[in-house]
Amino acid sequence: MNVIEVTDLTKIYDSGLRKGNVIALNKVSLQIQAGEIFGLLGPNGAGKTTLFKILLGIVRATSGESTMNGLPPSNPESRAKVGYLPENHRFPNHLTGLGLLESTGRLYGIPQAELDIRFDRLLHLVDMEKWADTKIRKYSKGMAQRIGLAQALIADPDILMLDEPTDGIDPVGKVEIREILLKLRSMGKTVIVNSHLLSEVEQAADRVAILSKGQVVRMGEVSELTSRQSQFEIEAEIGDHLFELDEAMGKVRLISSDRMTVELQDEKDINYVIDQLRFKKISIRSVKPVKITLEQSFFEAVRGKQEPVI
Amino acid sequence: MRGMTRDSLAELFDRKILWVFAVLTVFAMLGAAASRSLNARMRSSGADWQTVKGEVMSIAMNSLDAFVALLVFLAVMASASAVPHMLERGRADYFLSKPISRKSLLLSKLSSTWVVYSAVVVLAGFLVFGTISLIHELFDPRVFWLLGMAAVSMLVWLSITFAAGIFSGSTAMAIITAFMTWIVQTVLAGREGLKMFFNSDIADAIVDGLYYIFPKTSELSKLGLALALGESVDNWLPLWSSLLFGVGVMTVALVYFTRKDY
Repeated sequence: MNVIEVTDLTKIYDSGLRKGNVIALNKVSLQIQAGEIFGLLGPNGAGKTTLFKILLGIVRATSGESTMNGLPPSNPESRAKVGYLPENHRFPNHLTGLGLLESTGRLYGIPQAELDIRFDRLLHLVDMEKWADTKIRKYSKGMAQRIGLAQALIADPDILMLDEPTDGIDPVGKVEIREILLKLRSMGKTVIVNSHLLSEVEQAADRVAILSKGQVVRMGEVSELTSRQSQFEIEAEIGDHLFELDEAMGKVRLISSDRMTVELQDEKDINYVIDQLRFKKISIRSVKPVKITLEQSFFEAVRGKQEPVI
Repeated sequence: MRGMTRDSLAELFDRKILWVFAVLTVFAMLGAAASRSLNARMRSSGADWQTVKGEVMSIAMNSLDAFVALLVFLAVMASASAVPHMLERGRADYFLSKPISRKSLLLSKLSSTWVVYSAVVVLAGFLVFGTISLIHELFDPRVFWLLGMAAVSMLVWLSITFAAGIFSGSTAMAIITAFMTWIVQTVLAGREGLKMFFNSDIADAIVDGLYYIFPKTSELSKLGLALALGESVDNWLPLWSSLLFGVGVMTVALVYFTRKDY
């Protein structure tokens, strides 16, 4: 079931007479399913935060449609079960950490008795029990992020939208946040993470969309984006055997006497390659698709090596 | 109001503004206590008790009116940052991402700010008047007319600073707008002089039109004072025209606020 649906979403900011219009989003379409961790990646200015803001009704779309839990952003009820951690947030700093949770809970209309039950659990989850009664203005960046995550969870949301959640957090804290995200997924929550930290997203996300200049340039499961579907690495007793393919089928690159890569026009032709190796009585130890990191995939996408999928 | 009253109160405590009100109130109460010899002096001049009581009450109400006007002024200045503060970058996202309409959010903020500051002003005024009552052994519940009009006046001023805050996003602009409105309303209060100056039917119509449109908080204060002193009041124009002005600017601000991107 899709909890978020975005269709041909376009946002054009009017930057004044001299600067003209800025296209922040250009016909973006995507669907996010319930219970998945969805990574939204892209360089600065790609439109990631704008997409979040449109979904949350903070910014109005120029054209296109979007829904959360089947409701448009203009309906405040669409945000009733949504938690949001903004990027570069500035929570009311006259509040303590506990005060922020209380204030946020009341904005969601949660009864005080229910809030009292949730405070301890959330403060424990983000490891902020000791600092609950300290004013937010005295928090470090990492502490502010932790309490920000707690306030995003106060309404027990079905959808959690996190804009740069690990910003300012130390490596241990990053691992803890990743564990929290995985735990939330196991509880059936949908988590959308907007991050520059590709390795973080790679380790936690189920699916990823890469935005560049307001367009989705790549989208799919992390495993899809990190594998070159038509490239395979073969470990075999190649020795001195000459092994070549028709140009129409693909290319072979010998790396060493027991390792080579094949780049095929059609990945199904890997069966033909395997048959040929066997025919030549070459012993095959392994055949595996060539993997790249999400970072490599990201750079390929934003540098325009792939046409937009929209 | 989704807990906004408690939040406004917490902000008031945090910003230490409450101490300013407290110190001023204590000084005013000490001033009231110092007036102990007033009725003795008046009675020694041969005046009867009813006359003395009337005079003391008049002095007390006029002093209280000035004191409350000062508190309203401070409250308006102190709360001018409420909206720009709420809508600054990084904080607007926090508020606007909650399941509450922008209209409700803004009206909750306005009403909670008004409730908190009005309560402070009314309480301070009542404490000062209570001191006067104890010292001079007189109490008149009509003092609540004066305090009530001060609260209405504050609502009108808050509407102006809130609207200016929404349009400009700036505390300074909110304060400047309040000052400009006060100057215009003061000039319009002496509109007969303006009409004589321009000596034109068109100018007369414009001046009269502006007078009816703009708030009249100074006249509202006089209205409250008259009611507190038990005088009859025929002209309620300052009350309803001021309220209409507040409602008008807030309506325009709400329309703008609900359409703006943050």
